[in-house]
Amino acid sequence: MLETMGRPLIGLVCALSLGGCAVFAPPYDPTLDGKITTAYEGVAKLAAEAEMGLYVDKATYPGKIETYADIQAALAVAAVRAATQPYAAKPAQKAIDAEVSLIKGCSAQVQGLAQLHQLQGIVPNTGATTAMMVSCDQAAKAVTAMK
Amino acid sequence: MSIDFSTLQVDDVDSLVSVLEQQLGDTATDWWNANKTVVPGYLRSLAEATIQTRTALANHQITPEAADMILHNQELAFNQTIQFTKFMSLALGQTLLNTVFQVVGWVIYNKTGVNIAPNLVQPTTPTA
Repeated sequence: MLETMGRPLIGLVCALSLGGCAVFAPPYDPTLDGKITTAYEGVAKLAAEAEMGLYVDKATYPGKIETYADIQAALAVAAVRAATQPYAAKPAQKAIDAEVSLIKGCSAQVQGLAQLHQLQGIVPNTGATTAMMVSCDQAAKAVTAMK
Repeated sequence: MSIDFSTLQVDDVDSLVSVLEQQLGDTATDWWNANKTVVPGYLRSLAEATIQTRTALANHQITPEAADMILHNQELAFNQTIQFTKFMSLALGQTLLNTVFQVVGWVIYNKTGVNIAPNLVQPTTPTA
């Protein structure tokens, strides 16, 4: 309720002053940047370890569940933070929705790698980690696009 | 130029990138032209991963089930790349808006002392 009341108010304030408002995209949020960076660093470390052959054996999965969970938790916090950003016009709402979708896409890729790890193990140099790195890179770039 | 997929033989990453770029350019020329600076890097990643997956599958390093999971994740990632290009278009719009109104805001502030774009015009407080 507070959120839905707050957004028209932001629009009114923006209409009364020049520029700087989230018309097309949300403004840079350093807190969100910190959270997505933490998650992305976790993703990059996981991918590097997988590409070095640490997780070829699927029996290594139970020992890495906590790492997957930590990354997913950081991404979940980032998604909530991104979803509650203020905006002044409909295009910015679309940008926020897209940003949230990119963060959730990164999360889905982490889940996908976890599933592969659990069921098959992760063989290096098979393209297994690329999709996750691409998706999480895009999520991080979206968050810092207005920096 | 249409491709006969039944005879398509791609041996390396560069060739696969070339085919993908040609197909995207033919299928959605406007989209491809608008996103030529963003998409090729991701296409190359996709091509590199695809060749790696194919080689590993051919050499029996991974099972067909594992290859299927890896390529499904690639599909999701490229779908996300399309969304990413839409987001970046909106971000560019906001950057252009900010650029213009930062100039306008300073022009007005410097003459009148009135700051009507405080998010974009942030004068430093003079030291005493």
